[in-house]
Amino acid sequence: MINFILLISRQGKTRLKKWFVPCPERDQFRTIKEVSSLILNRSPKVCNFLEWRDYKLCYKRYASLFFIACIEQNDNELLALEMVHHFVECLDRYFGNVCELDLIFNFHKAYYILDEILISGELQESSKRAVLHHISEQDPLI
Amino acid sequence: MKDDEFGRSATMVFEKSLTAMVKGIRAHRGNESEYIQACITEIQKEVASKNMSTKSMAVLKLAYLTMLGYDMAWATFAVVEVMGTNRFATKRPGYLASSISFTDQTDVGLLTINLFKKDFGSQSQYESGTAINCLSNICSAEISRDIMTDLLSLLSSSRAYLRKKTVLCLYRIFLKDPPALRTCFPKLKDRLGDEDQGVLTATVNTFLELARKNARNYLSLVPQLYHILVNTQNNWLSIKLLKVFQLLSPLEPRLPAKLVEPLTNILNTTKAQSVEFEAIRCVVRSMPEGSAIVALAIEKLQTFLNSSDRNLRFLALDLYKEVVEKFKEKTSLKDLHDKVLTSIEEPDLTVRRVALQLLDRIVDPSNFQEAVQRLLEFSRKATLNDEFIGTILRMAARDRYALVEDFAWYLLILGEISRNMDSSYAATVAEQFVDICVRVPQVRPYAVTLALGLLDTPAEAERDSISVCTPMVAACAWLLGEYSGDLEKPSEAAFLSGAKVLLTSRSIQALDAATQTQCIWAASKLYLAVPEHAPSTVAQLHELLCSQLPSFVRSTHLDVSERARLALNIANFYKADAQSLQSAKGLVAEQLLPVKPDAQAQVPVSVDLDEPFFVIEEARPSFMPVRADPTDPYSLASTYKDDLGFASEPNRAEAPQSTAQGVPSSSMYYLGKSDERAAAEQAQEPSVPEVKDPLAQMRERLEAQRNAGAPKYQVMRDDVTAPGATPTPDAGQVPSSSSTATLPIPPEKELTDLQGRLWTVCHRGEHLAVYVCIRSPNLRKRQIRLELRCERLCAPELLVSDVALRFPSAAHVQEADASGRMLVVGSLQERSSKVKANLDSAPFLWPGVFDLRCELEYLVKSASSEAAEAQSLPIQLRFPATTFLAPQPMSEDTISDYVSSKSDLLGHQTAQALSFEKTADLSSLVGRCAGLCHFHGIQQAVSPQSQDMKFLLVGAVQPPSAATLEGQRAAPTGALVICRCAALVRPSGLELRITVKAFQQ
Repeated sequence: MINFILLISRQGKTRLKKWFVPCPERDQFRTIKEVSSLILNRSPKVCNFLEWRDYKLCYKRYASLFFIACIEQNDNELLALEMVHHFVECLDRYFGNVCELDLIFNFHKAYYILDEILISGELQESSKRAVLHHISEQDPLI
Repeated sequence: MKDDEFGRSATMVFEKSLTAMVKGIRAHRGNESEYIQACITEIQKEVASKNMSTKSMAVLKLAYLTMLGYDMAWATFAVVEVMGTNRFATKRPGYLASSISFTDQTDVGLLTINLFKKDFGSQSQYESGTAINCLSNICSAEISRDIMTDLLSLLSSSRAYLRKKTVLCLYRIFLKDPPALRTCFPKLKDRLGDEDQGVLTATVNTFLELARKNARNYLSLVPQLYHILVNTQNNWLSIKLLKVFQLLSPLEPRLPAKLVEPLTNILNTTKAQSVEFEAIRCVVRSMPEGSAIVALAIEKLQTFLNSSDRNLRFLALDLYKEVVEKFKEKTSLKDLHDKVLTSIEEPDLTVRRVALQLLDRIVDPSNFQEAVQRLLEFSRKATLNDEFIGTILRMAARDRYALVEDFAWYLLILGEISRNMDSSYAATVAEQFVDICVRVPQVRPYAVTLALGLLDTPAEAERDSISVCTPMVAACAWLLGEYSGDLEKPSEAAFLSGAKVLLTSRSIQALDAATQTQCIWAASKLYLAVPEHAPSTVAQLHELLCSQLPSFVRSTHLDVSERARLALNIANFYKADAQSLQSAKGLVAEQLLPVKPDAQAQVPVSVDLDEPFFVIEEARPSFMPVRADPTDPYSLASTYKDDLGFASEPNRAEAPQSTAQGVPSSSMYYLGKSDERAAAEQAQEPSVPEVKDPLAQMRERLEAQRNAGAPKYQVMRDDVTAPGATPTPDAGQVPSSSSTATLPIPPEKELTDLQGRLWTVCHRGEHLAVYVCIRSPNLRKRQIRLELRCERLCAPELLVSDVALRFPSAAHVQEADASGRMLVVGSLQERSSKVKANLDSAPFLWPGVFDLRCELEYLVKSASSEAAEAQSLPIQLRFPATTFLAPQPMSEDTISDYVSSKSDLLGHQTAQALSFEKTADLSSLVGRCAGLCHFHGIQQAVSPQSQDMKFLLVGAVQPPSAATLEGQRAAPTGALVICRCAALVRPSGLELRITVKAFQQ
């Protein structure tokens, strides 16, 4: 189960944060600070997993953004990376060659897409087409 | 941009659209917070607006600002309002903001219940979906209780989209409201048969998370889950199922065998690495060692380890930790070893740490040296080298240096490490250095020379500072003082240079007080040892002490000054007179043995120092003395401490070392005269610049030694523990070969068989005899079973019938009725069949021979007379003393502690000597006896040459309870009965001496 998902820019700015377990805002900010400094300082030649407190952080860098998923000790790390990649691909298809600016100006859209992919920290839809279909059906309602 | 409704309408309704705000923030780089504060003031106004679109936009902007770290707790009420609007377009930002910022603690949460109810029933699946999404984030027990029925109906909704979301959301709800799980379980289980793949995956997912909490509850799902596993092609689903089976297979013994086929299938066919890896992990965690599938999985894991993808390499290494732990077979370990060593060099700290942990587990004595050399090389290259050093030290110290074969070599490594001045492991290095020398007598000659070399800095350094870390200086000083006798002969030069280094080098006085004290005392010890080992240097050493110590006496550290004064006084007292100095040897004669670091802490605090540790027991009148023969090693000693052979322990440990000392010139460390002369020259002219690095010198020596043949080391792996201490379990301690062993007590079945043969006569009268067999008491039920039989003894014309045994009222017999336990109903023929009687064992408190008074009743009728004559006889059922003991598992140490601490409970002692014909296997015989008499037995170590054997048997008496039976009273709490058996091999046969100690007869 994913505990939280973070999108952090290379400058350490939060672009998206989503906790799936209840967590007070104050702790969220502290965690973001700690996790982003850990990850931004890792050299690109090292592996994409690291242990953090009682959890594992699986992250991947896409262009200028780090996508970070915090999973539990007994979760499958490769699956977490696949989930992150799945999310990135959905974003990419929706925005069409997504860039950081898209996510800044349409941060709510990124959340809506994430909500179609994950719920309570679990993957709910593994088909990109289905995700995009659901999103595009909701768009005209707005 | 695809669409931007907010942006377009912003000019009309909103003060500022989201896009405008984000642009504004980006434009105000440098003073963003000022700009954002202005925005927040605007938002505060907008939130109060009646226009729902304005409100919704304001909430969305706030949600953006929370990401930048601005609090939006003040706006929770507005968020709920926005969630409650009718249009999806305005509603959605409300749900978004609440799932970002609300938690289960948010107090407006209860206001959302009706909103959820309304939206769950909405026509649009997206409204319901958004609501479920939000619910999974902010659910609390109260919300769950009110909303459960709506969720249950969603669970059987016709739309897979909603079923899927509900199933996943339910797990969060169960966490908050556990009783909900019971209500939902049947419906949730039905979802395992859902035709939609997404719902199916979601359901398995939810069950996986539930099984992580308590797997046992979900064993009933195994058939369904297995069916899905065999039939699915979905990777996500497969991984989740493999995870569930990892949790379930330890609980269901039949499961691993069933899983072999699907797992093999997955391993061989899957293209997805995540699935493959999960399958490997599942095999490693749930399959038994040695099966074909394990071999297959390890082979696959090997390819992961050799993969070019560093993520896979890391995961493989990590999993190998489990493999090495679980499967002891050393297949392909050589390869692994190389791989691990290369991984250690990786710049990735995570990988490196895992590799070091793994290395720790896979080294064995054959590759330990190589591994250490590699680690040492890396540590020289790396800037952060403490990790490597730490691993070396940890590996070596494991199981009391079990991996180290060549101790001289390892000491050299320690010396090399100690050159690193600021390692955080400096203290550990010094500790190991000393510890090894104490434990391995044979390495001492090499160690002292190495210590001298380390202290004796090459003069080329010029700075006159000692180039090893401070704790190591102290360690070397101590070694020099303690083992000066091991310096190679003739050792005059070494003695002199040793004392000189300890006292004269100026840098010593710059070190901390404790180290200075060590150096002073080491120099004094050298001086005291001089007459024995290097008599010609007495005068020089004396002069050195007298000239150098005064400067230490003036030290600002009080303890340094005090120690220096003491040493100076000793030197002044004995002068340079070898004769009188000889008499001072006793000051430092006692050899030190390895002591557990926490030995002192184990001594109970309540110890009164005036009171002797061991109370010498005086012989009691009941003590039956056995011939006290000074040549007889097994004659009874005055205390159990001696009985148990503790006092002789140090002697035994010292034995090999004294032989090593006796013939130092034949030692393999002895290099011959030429080197020695060179060393002496160096010592005399320490300022010659071409002095070699002492470590390099020692390395050469090591080579020379190795060429001379492999050294044999004996390691004292036992610690001396504090007397009277309550030992704490020490995981690191390995039982050494000579330690005690638990006596093999035969299996229960064998004992029961034996017991069944132990029948005793308890009555033999005019008409009949009664036999009894006493079984082992059932400690849990507190019952004891008796088996009874009668035999007819009288003439055939008499008719004996209706035999019954009436027990005293205090002894409850289960099967007895008002007339007692019937042994025979009707007339007694030759022999009666076996009759059981279960006695309540609680009243039997006293561990001694006990006669239970019973009445035997029967009818006798002669052929002539009509009326039967009732007979009633008192008989006694005799219980042996050991009947109600319980085996007390204790080690030799705990017994000795018990003996020394609870001497008041062992006031009584009896001894007996028995002779036997020679038996083949005494220990199994004693084991059988111990089993029958309910003792825990251990076999004590004796010297390997003698064939004698010693055993210790311990039994606990029944816990006290109210005494109801005549002649029984409660034994003191914690009382034990301890027997010591010594079997001596005599030409005539075997002599067994048994001593019993108990609290009273």
